Amino acid sequence: MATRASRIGRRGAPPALVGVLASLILLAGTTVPAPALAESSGFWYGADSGAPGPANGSAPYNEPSCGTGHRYGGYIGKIGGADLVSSTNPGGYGPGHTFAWNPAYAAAANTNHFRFGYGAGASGYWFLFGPGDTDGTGLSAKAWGGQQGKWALAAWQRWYDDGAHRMPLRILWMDVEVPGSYGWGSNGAANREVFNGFWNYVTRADEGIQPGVYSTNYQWGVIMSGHTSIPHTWEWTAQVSVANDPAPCPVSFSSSRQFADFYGGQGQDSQHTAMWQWSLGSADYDQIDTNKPLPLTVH
Amino acid sequence: MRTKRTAGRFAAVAAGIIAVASAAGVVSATALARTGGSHAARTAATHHACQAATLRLRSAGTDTGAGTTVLTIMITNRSAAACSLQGYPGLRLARPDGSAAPARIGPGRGALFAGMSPREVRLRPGAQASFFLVYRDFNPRTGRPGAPIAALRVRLLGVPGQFTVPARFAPFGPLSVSPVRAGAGRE
Repeated sequence: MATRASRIGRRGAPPALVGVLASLILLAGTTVPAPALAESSGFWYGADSGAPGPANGSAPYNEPSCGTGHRYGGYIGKIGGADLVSSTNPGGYGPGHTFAWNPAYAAAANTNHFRFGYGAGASGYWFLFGPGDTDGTGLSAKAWGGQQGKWALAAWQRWYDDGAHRMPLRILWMDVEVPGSYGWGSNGAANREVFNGFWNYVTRADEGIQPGVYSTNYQWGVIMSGHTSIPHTWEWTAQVSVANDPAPCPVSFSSSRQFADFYGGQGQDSQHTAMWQWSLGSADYDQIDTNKPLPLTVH
Repeated sequence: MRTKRTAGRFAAVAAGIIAVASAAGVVSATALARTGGSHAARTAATHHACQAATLRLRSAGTDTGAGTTVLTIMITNRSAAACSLQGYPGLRLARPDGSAAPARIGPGRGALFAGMSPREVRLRPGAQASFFLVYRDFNPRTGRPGAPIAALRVRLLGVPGQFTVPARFAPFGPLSVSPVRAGAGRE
């Protein structure tokens, strides 16, 4: 705008005309409302696993997509997984053992959350194996789920380290994906028992951490065939409608062009549907609905 | 433990599907008819390039998180002499019936590939190198995994021939690959 005014001035436009134009521009500025940010309605943008990190290098940190003005509102990384279990990593601990945990991104999300009140901060997920691959333990389905819950909770607490690394979004997610792989066979009842074992262990541990699930509507339906209902479990869906690369970025779980496709009997407005993931280019992005009663640590 | 488990998974696939793979699930070093001419031609005489028959390629396992998987391929020099590898591997995907599956595979970008550039990797006898692939596990629009893949066909810069590495996965969309790097460590 300054450039345009200068050019007009050089051409010798009458001062009155400049004044009228300036008034019109100011008037337009006051009558056209700024586009509402998703954050204004409690939907915070975030990221997971290996990327992306914040767009800037100092706090408060910004989301590197969806235009300007969006804060880095959360980070969910792989705190561990059955696929990481080995003789040198018997508990399947994530940090330092996986591409999908980035401590800098977690710290950035926490800084925004604790110092500025932006977003939900860091959280973690466990890559869950089904009953067909028990890492050599030979446990029954339910016991195998419980064992993974034990490992996952231990991994969470190991990283938390009495508050050295905070995890304010206190949902321990089970990453359930790829029917036919990672021990997920065709027995939906047995698969569900693994989930139940994990859920029970984390809940009964009573450490203020609640269980959740990351999956897609399709995969959850196939893996848990006949045993899909999870009305009281936090959900994070990776299945979206219409577009993988939504433009503009979604401002809630639903718009005219895309919506988050949840599962297990829950929908966008259900009490425990917390997050969705979509892709933009080669990176995954997430959105967190903080209108839901999330188990959040704020101090 | 993880590596053994993964190799075991692949073994069943390899047995009936990958004709050139050994029962142990390791790569066939059989040099196929094509010699990778352009790659070979670019191999400078100053490098003691590895020979296909002395290299062993196998999957070192996967690391999956929230819809994305990293698949690491380990390369072992089984000869008594040191040799060199360099650059990005040439990759093709093979379906369970052995036919080639269409795929977009390109050099990886972003945080996971930060600091990685093609460079010469010197392999002493018994030493290991590796590269890794990154792919999505499913179509976000449908929630379904991609088409099943049973093996990777690998060409290494300056090494005549092609390797077949049993690897059962179902990627969706483009795949990103790292250059060959020293060691068999994870990404």
